[in-house]
Amino acid sequence: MKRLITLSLFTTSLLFANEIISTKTPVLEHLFVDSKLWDTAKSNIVTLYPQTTLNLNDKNAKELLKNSTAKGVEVRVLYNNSKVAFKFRWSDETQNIYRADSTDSYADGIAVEFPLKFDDPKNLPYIGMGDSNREVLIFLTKAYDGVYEPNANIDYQISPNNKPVFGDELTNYKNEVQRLAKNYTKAFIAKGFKTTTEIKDKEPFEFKMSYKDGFWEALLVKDLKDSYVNLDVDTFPISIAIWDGNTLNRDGNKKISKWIPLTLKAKNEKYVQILNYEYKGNLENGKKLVEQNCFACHSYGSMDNQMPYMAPNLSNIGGYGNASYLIESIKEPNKAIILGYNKNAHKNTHWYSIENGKEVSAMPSYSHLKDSEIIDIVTYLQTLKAEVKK
Amino acid sequence: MSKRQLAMVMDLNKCIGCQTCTVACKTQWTNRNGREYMYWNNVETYPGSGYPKDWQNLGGGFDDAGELKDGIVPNLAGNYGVPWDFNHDEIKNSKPFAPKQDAKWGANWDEDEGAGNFPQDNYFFYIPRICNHCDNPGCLSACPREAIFKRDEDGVVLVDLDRCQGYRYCIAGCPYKKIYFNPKISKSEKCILCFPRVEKGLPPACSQQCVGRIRLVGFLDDTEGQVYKLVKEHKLALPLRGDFNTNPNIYYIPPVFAPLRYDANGKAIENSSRIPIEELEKLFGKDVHRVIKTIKDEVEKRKTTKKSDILDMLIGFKHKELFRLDSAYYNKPLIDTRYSSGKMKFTSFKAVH
Repeated sequence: MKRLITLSLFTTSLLFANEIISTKTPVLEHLFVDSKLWDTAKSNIVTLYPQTTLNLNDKNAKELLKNSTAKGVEVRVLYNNSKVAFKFRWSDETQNIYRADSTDSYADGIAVEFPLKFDDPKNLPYIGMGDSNREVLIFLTKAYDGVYEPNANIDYQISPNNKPVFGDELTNYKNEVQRLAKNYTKAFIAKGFKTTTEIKDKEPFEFKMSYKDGFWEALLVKDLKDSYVNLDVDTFPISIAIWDGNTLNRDGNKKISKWIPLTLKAKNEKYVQILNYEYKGNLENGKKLVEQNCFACHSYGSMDNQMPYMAPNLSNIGGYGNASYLIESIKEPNKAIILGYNKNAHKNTHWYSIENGKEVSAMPSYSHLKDSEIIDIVTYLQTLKAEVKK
Repeated sequence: MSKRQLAMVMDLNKCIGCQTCTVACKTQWTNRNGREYMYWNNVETYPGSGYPKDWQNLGGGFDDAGELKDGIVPNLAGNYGVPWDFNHDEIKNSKPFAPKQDAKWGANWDEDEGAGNFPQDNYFFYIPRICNHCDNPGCLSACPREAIFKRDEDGVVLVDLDRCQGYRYCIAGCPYKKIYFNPKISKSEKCILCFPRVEKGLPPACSQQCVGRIRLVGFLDDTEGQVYKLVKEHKLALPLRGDFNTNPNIYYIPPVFAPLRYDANGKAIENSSRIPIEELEKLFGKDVHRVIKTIKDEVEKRKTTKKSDILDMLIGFKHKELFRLDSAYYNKPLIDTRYSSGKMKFTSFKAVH
């Protein structure tokens, strides 16, 4: 793998994708989403793509995914010696706040993902919630507005209309609802689908979102160093996800970015290059090879005749899959087996088996292909992504 | 498959649509905390839209290859019906008792409407429905967090509210639409087969309160029990919409006795039945023919020989005969010992009362 990359670095030209540059500032106290200080921060655009790897069983949401487009999110980062602040801004024609009077409405939201370990840019966690050997830290906020707190304490089982019987408990209940129903802001650790675990210790961070004139703006402020990840480095990877309640987004049904290099102090040029690397092999040959080798199990774009849960759908893999992940999936598919993937998979299409106590992917390794063929395949896979909405 | 399975049989020949079961469940579990719109037990008129509206066409379940089918998350106003607030404060001013909202649809809106033309061939019957606690639940399969599990000791299907994040794929996955989203806590909730009652010797609230005594509850492996005999031995109790491929554990005795149809002159047509057999086939499958014949034969047998074990089971003279709970099995102090007959005999256990 290392040989492959270094060979290409010399022979092909580089193409920079997304990148985030930060701005240092002395004071990061009392920062709001509309503080003037943000004008001094560099504006960066990150492109997010609809997550279409997994097959949903929600008919209406699936229908809406058919015409989904990519989306740009503006990111500005300010940092000082101890804290880092992120401001995200993206357009959303419809403001969807969580509703307590509906069974089928979903809230807008945003999440930011960091790998716990990121020293090797070629060995990062699976972009969608990490994998069993590579964990991720996630900060999430969703648009809630004073509704009884979701994931609430279910001990409060009092009917608010039963005044004669419950008396004092009702007042306590109301106070508890007030206390809990502030906003929906959480931090999680995850190592693959279904393992997402909320961090309940009091790590200091704030994450708020506000809507103005067709745009959401979100502010995340956290310590540079917390007990999970140390961001006091030059360049580290970050990924962003947004949910649009209007298209029934929730859970994995969202738009996500690749691992994007974010530079605080001095840029680690090599790190940025590797993270943003895009192969420039033979596109036509790549398309042919993908049809020959991959289409047997994987659906992508209009080639969608496969059984729905057989293998991940590759329609947007070029959007949220970094080149090193694409190479890893082809040469070492056992590295990123997501144990929680395809919960609905039929027993005949299980995506991994256990041999000698280790998980073995249903996908065979294609390392027998020539290096140039793998480059061609990845070149084609890189093009599989939705268009950015005009 | 769980080690043991608690199952229920409902005799649709006895259901009078009184909704006592619905009220029992509602006052026990769903009259508060975001569950107000939910009817974990509902009794719908068939033919009719059912609750939620048009549930039979909202997807979910599995196809014959075993793959989960896409489904739709029902809408509160359109499918479930918004629980109305009523104008209690105004009735003292002689205003008629009415909902405060504009009422356009609610659960059981089409009660007693049925199908056909009066008086020739109009008909309807009632179908009480609860969660089927399936062997292969669509909800369990759909959840990406594995937040739904099937208890090994009795096959009750439950939601782990600590793991649930409110994604609602389970609701799309259930073909019976018997799991509901609680928007107040942003999690899914469903019929729990009254397991806190069952573990202490009491049958589920819907079953115990049933005025028509149509519900039989017992373990499927309790060979002496009436549930086993009706489901496994005589095979007279059939699953509802078995074609959804979830293997439900709530079984129905189909309505066998329907009045005769009338011709244009108002004269009864011999050997006719108002309930079209195709409708019963749609609901319960082809076995419905055999079941109807068997039960009719048993009625004849009773008329001639005065004996029919099957009819005795279906009549259910005593509550003790309807519920066989094996409560000693749960190793918990019992509140009620009357229904503790079953595979595990209630021996040295001290009841609470």
